[in-house]
Amino acid sequence: MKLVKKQLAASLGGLPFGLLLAANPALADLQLNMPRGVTDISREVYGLHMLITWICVAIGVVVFGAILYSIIKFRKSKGAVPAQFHHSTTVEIVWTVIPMLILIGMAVPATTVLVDMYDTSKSDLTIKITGYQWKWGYEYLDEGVSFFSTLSQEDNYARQLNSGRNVAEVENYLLNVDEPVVVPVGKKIRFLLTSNDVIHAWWVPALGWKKDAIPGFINEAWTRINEPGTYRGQCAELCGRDHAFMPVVVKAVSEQEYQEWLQQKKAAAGAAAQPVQAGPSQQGVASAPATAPSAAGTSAGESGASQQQAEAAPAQAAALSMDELMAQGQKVYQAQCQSCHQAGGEGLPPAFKPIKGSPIATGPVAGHLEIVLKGKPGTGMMSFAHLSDQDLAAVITYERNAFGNNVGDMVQPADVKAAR
Amino acid sequence: MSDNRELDPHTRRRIRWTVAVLVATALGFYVWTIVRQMNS
Amino acid sequence: MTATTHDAHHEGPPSSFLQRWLFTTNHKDIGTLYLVFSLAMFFVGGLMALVIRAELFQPGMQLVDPYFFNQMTTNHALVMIFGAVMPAFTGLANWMIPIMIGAPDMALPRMNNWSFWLLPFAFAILLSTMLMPGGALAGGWTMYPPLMLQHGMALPFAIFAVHLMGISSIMGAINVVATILNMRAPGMTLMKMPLFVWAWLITAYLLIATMPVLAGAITMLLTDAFFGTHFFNAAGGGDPVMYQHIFWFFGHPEVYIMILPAFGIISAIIPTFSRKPLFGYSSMVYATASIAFLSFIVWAHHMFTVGMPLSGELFFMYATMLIAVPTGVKVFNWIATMWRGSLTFETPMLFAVGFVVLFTIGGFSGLMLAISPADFQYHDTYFVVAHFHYVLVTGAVYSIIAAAYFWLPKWTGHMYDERLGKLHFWLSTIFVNVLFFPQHFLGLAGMPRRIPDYSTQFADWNAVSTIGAFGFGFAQLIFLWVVIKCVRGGAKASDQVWEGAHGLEWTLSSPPPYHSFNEPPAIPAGESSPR
Repeated sequence: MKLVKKQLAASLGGLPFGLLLAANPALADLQLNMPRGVTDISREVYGLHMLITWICVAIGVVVFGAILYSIIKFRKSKGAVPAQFHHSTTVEIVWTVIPMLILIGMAVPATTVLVDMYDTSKSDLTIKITGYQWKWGYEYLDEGVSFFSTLSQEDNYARQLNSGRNVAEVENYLLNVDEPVVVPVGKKIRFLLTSNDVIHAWWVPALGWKKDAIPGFINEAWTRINEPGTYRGQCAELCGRDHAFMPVVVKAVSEQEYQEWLQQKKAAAGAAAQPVQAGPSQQGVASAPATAPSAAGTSAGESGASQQQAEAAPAQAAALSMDELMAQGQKVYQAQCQSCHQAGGEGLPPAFKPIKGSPIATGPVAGHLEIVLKGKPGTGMMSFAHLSDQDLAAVITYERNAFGNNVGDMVQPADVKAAR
Repeated sequence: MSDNRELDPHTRRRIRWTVAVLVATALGFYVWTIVRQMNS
Repeated sequence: MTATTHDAHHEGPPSSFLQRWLFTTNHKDIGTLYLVFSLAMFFVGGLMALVIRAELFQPGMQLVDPYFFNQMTTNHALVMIFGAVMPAFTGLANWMIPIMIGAPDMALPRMNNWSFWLLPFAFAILLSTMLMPGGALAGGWTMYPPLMLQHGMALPFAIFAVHLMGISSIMGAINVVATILNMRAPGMTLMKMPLFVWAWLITAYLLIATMPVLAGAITMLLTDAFFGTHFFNAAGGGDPVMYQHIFWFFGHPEVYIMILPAFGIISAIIPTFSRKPLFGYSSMVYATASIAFLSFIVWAHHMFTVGMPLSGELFFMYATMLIAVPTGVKVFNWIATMWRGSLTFETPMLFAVGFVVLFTIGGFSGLMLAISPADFQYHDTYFVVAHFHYVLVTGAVYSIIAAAYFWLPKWTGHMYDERLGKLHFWLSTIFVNVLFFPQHFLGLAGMPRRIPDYSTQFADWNAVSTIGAFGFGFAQLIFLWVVIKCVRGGAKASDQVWEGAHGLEWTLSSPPPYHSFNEPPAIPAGESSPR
């Protein structure tokens, strides 16, 4: 009897699962099902998913039902006497053909959806996505706008081991970036995906697909977002230590808002002026407005920052004091360097070298500038040339004087500009 | 102790042939995996 | 290696401990060595899993560095696959194949010894990488470049260890084929062999074809890292995606290597406790062979998001869906065996029926994953993790445990403690579902895999899953105790042990003599397939 009850529980596992899926509860925390998403493709995929799920539930009911029936009805303790049959060609044929028909029934709609997903023609705009360890780079081809999108500083701080921050208080924890991808609703957007280092994958569940970003290759995908909103996703291919910490945020807005945003970006790009490089073997990528460690990527903050950028350009030659450099440098360090080189500069050797006591950080400035601007190919140290002269000057100064390094020198934005 | 000394010569010859073919197969797959990459 | 001074009529094992265990060429002792090793590795891999689940209990980082976490996920898989599941099946093969076919031992007893002893050596190397500067491999057990090339000292050692494991498997597989094809007792035709033997014959062919391909892939990783080649480096004219093709050409048959012997075990246990012959013996053989053949042409379903041309994507989708047919046939045949049988539910039968139910659930999620456009949402999420743990834990591992309970009385001569066995089953089954079923939801909700920290909307199911993990982990200690207790003593087991048991192995005493079937047994004529 105990056995029957327990087996009932096990085999009924499928049924409530199916029922709850249909109900699609609003309980985000105990979410059971895939989101329907905001594109035609995502809805078709959701439909395929539900179709197969229901087919599996139906087959499960039959199969588990037969097992349950056998367990109850044919127990020796109930006096069951074993039959001796052990083959039946008819039955074998039936239960081979019926599954084949079910499979064909599934394959037809699946093929239609897949063919649709492969059709990237007639797009309205193209965005190139480049995966880095551990951030995304976006380039709006034909618009001359490009920028990096990194995990927001607040999240980055909260996720450190023993940070003391309660992550439940961070809204959309691990799904915030400093610079979201802004796109217009209703337009067909083509994406070109590649990587600067290892294989990553770009995924926003609400859009209905993911695609690998592979160094040396360019993958294609497309989307047309039906509803304005903010859609969040993550990297979906193990890419090293901070694989979990390079989210994707897509902001779909009206055409007008999109054009305004584009104009802002172009103005800021004009102020910082250097063309974007492409390809995996290139190290220096510049021209993005500073991924300055502002508190959060709100649009007010963004326009504020880009305005500052436009104003700061002529003032770049002005020298900063040691205190200013150290203060800003620490913020940049926390946002950009700390996840590998650690809060105390001790690193995680041999993969992530220590900055504390490092021959580069305590040696000639030229060498320090070079490694920060160019990175070190073949390692996790990427180029940081996309940061502003001021941020770089600050962080290099900070590294040379913090952690007990105490070299005593300062690096000014003009020095950085000269070294590029 | 059971070992091949107790098997008749006919069976032992067949075992040797089986092993030779399978070892060649395994080596063949290994070499093919690498060599097909070199020609691309 | 010189032959010992035993003469052909010596009855028992050597008296010296070293002589018996280090230099053994006896299939029963080698089988025992494999099984003990695999149980130890199961706990090692299990500990790594508990580290993973402990960190994932709550959002935020509480316990480990993300890089160490990646080492755990990577090595948990390597240990479980190459250290627990495969050696366990090999141990069962060594113990049971000769006595199921009426052979005195395996075809190549000395190579058999080597096949085993390579493994502790290889795993000592692999596990020692955790102590090396930079830590163990952390790029996933799939070892994709270019990420894999960012490793330190661990890379060459781990690759060497995996090579050794591969050589061990290949030698074991050659031994299995040579034994089955050449040493069956007269009258034991292929279509009279127990299904476990058929399953291993087919599995052995898969091993011989695919382990060398893995070896080739990791050799090329090694040369890319140290000898200036660029097989997988795009900048040098190579192709990181090609690694994935090569790896999964091995990788997909590998998962069938880990499940076909399980099918063989279940096909032995269910008829025994149903007191009824296996339904559809020949279909079961053909289905197993079809699954093995199909397993060679579906590999790219592990790579659906890599950017394959449409025709390739469609081909792999259709081929993958096809595998559901012979697999379904097997499940239906097991149920038909139970149907109108006379069932009792000793522990082996509990695990076997649990296998059929829970492996089928894993099969359902596998079918969903086969649908390529839907897979774009499932790929690299916890939905995949749920799928493969259902087929590997409640599939392969359950079958190994079932086999242990089934054959322990034969091996030791003692009945195991049935009450403890049942307790082990129920606790395992409840907790394994608490552990893995919610992971389907996590994947569907959007949680990627191989991450040490996650967004707070995933917190609740992660907490549930972790509770399941600890429950399941501790429940396995019951099994350890059952095994130890059974080896030491227990009610005397008869030759046949189980009322419904049929086959050559059940004609031997429990335990069987150290050397059995020195003279081939007479195979009963008449029936065209075993009961």
